[in-house]
Amino acid sequence: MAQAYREALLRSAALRATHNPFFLGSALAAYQSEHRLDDRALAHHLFCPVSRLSRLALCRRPDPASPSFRQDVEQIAAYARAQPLRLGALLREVDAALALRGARDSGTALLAARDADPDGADEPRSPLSGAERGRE
Amino acid sequence: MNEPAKGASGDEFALHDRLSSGEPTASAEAAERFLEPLTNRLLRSRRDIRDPQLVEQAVIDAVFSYIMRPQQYDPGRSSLEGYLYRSAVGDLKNELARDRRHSLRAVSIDGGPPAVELSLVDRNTSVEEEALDRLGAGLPAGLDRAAALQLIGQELPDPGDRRLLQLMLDGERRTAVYSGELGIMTRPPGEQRNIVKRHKDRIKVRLRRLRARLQIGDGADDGTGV
Repeated sequence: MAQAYREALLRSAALRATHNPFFLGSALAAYQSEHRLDDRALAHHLFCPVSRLSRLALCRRPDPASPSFRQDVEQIAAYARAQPLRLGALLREVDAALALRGARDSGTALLAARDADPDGADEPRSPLSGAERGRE
Repeated sequence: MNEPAKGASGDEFALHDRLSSGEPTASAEAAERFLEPLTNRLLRSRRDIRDPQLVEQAVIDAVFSYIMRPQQYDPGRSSLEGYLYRSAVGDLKNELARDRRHSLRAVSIDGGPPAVELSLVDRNTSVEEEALDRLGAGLPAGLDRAAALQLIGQELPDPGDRRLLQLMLDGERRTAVYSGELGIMTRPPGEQRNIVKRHKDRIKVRLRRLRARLQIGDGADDGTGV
């Protein structure tokens, strides 16, 4: 009974963690959303018991750019009984997608700001702005 | 759950050190260690609170706050468990005070005492008020705001439905969030979508019925954005 309640509380906290970039749960949620995976499929992908997903989600999200990334992933994988290579790849993919989206959004914002500024209409375009427009 | 007289215990010190040094699993271990005992302790001490989720969320808030800023805790001054408990109590009080202000504001809008007594410790009041505001500002003659809130409470008596309604009012569109609320995260994605849609439709039907009872025109937005 106490064990079931503990697990329910951990699930509730893990759900909250999906909205907080501090926690690994935010990366798991992004990956699930991108690949349309439910918890069972995610656990299968990570070779991890479904019952360990809440604990996995409540770990600190490691930074793929950090020198300790590999060690962090291995430690988390051991704790959550997940496959470290799969977990590391997932984190790198989510991070790359986030960086790409950030770059695209800032490019769009720059274009929007320039388009909204009539004084800038006749200014020569930078090569970057041309490249960004091509992505639109 | 006896609290040591002073300072952190040995294992609390160790966990705090690991969290402070950025060890990636320490946050999950802190949640694993403290969520359940703190929630039970707070539920025992605040039996007047009818919604246990309010207590659970306060404990999660306190533990998350510590996880993200462990330096705010001084292990030499009190046990970690005692510190987190006091923090959760503070979060709970703040939440209750916020609800109280919300309820009192509703009373003052009407310019008089409410026809139905509003609970000062009922977190659900906020979702009722928000739903009422979204349904339409004008109420028929003879029906004051408090009575309208009471009608919403009657139409959606289940706390789970109110939480789903709150998500809808917040504009939440991700199936995964609703699935988490409904506890169906392990079902296949297609099944989750169907179940979530059924629940949303059911709540929208109730809101439409409520709108009819409140005699608010059909043109009014139901506010759920779905």
